[in-house]
Amino acid sequence: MNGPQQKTGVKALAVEGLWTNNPVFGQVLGICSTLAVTNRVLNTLVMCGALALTLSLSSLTISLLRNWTPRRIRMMVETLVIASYVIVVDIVLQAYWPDMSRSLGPYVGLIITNCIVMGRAEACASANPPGRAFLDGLFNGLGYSFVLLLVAVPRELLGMGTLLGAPMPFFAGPHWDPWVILVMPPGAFFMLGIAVWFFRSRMERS
Amino acid sequence: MAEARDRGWADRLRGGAGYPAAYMFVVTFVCAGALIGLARLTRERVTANRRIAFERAVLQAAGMTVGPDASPARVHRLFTDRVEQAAGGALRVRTDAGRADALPFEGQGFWNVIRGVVGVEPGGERLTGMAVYEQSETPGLGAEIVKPRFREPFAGLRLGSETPVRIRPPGAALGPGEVHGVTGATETCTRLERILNRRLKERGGQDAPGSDGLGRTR
Repeated sequence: MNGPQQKTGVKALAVEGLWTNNPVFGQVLGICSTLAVTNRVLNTLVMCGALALTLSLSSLTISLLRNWTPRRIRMMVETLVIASYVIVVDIVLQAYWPDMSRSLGPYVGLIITNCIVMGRAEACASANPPGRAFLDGLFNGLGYSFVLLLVAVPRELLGMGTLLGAPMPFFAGPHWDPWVILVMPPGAFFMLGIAVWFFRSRMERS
Repeated sequence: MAEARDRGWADRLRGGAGYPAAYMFVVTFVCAGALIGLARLTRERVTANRRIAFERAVLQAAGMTVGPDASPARVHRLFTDRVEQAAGGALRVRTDAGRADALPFEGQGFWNVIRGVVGVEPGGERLTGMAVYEQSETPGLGAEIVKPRFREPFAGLRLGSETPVRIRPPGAALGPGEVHGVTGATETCTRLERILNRRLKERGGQDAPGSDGLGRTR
């Protein structure tokens, strides 16, 4: 969000959140959940939705409160707001999608400690009007989501032979020996490393 | 003029010594109130979901076919019709094949508590099944203990003589009472094995004299 040629407008926010300042390969934030939940595409989709919702709504709320929040307690207020939205997501999942809630385990609750959410609250929401803060949160959430999905699809497909839990032709058959390491934690590091290398080299060229 | 007066009032409020504490109190009160309200609104549904998950696990552990697509109403009806309380915290299940004792178990997993049910044939020689209904293990690794691929080998498993159940590394040769674990989830499997054996031995201890300690009649 810094720089002498700071752009304004929705398009500029979209380009920053999705590409130039992407939370995963640009800012290298939120890596814990990137590594943890990307061995299944469905888990990844729900995690991405939960994070994008929390990020955009907490940015909006923090921006609405920014003129009333005393500077010295602002981080306590930001944490409280973020935690509240995360607990809302957790309660809704427990009530309406219990299988997914059980499947994601502790990772929904850990959105509270995701550096992207606090980072955007500090860098943008606490100093910008609500509309801009909301869009900044939304596009950062989408930027995080698209990288996670790019990591999750090959991990589930090559590691388990399925996509969204459905067996895929060839990969679920006898001719494909699943690359189990991709489903395990080292596989997440390999895939994330490849994704970061690819996008950063593309960014440098452009 | 009025605007300037308003701004002056707001600035005086924000400049007060007690303002940060009062502000934090108000924000906390609003957030906590909203969350308590939402939790109360959904409490019944969450409790019912947990209850159905437990009932489904009891039926699955007893060897009955109750897939994830079975509706909560059907699961509850089956549970009400077929299950009754037995001694020692066990549940007696009337299955299509006869009878099974379902033993609820719980213990510390890798990240958090694992809760499930293990089913035993009346003679105590074999298991009828095993199902986990609550866990917080690593998604894709330890959390695979809830999947049919891991659970199914427990059905019909003949219990071992020394240790009732052993969870062995994937690919290892299996003896009596042994099943394959999940790749990359050694800790979860070790802890689950310990929990299962403790529960099965507890059941053995509660049996009448003449049993071999595992609920089997000599």
